[in-house]
Amino acid sequence: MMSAASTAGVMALLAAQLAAFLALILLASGLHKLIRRARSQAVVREFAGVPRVLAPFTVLAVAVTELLAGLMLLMPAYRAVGGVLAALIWAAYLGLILRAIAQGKRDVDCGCTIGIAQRPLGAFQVTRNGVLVVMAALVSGSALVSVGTTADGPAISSQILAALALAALYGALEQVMALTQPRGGVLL
Amino acid sequence: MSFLIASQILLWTGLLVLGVVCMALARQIGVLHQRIAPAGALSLPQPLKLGDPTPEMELPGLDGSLVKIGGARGARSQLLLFLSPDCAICETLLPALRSAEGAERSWLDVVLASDGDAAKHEAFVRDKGLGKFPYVLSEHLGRSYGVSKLPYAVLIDEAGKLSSTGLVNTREHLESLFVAKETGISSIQQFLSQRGPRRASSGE
Repeated sequence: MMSAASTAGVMALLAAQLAAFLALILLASGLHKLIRRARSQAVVREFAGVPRVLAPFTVLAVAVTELLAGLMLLMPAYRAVGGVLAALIWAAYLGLILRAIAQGKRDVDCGCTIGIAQRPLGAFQVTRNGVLVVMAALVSGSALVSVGTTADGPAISSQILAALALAALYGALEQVMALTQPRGGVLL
Repeated sequence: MSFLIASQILLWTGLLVLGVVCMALARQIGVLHQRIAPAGALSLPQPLKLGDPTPEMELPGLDGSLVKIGGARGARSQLLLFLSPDCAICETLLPALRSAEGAERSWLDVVLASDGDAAKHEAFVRDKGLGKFPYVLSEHLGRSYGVSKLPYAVLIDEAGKLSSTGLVNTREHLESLFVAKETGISSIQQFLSQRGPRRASSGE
């Protein structure tokens, strides 16, 4: 049996690991938007409906916001604010995805992937963004009530490994969902 | 906490390896899927060309009802599958046919066709549980579509025009008829000739 203090310590450690994963996703996404500006500008024009003249500034603003949220998630002192910012970013994406689906524009490039894989927008993208919003909210909430974690080498190593492992699983899921689905479903 | 963190490091390392392996496997499947040419139904010489209007017929089904074949059908297409109780490959195709009928029922009607002794076909329908499909016996129907080998399938589009046809030995062959209708690419040769220049230009 763990004591209450131990339980709180473990929860804080898990929240820090989750925060590291979310930070990795946001940092990769922000950098990708800065590197692949042409694609990102096309996405904000066609997917978000931003006028052409504002597209470069929008891409820059979104990329900087993502990078900022990612960096804040990595710093325990700013993790709560970073979690809120991350949740807002993913909630905004979720809203745009739901709007595109409602408008019947399922084939539009949502810029949801690092690679060029495209597929019709659907339940997977909605669920994924919903899960990310919930995770970011959990990290933020945990940071507000956290007892704090030790920042020694092993703890930081576990956070880095957790972020990489979850990112690998995230990437694997992206790859699997990019595969062409067989007609009639996978079980038929 | 140190034991906990040590065990966490080990578990996350294992999960990281697992994630990387999964990602590599999924990536490999995607690459293979792109590289392998699709299986297409073999089209045999036939009196009708793709896009030609199909002859409109009303034939009696095994259950006594009249089955309309060919001609304009509103929003629905029609798949004629020519088979025979004596054809072993036809039997192996039946699960794929049931699956396809279920998956494509929103736009497709399936009709089974053959010729010969009605009693034998009725026993075949009972034995294989094909009662839900209209089943017609007509030599004339087979000749109209130039059916010389079995199992052979003919897909007629909503306007009653011949959409795709071919010898269907597998599920992939059967599905290739639907893909041909959706893409407007009528044969595997046409698909490969269109894909060739694109792959060459992308350096694949």
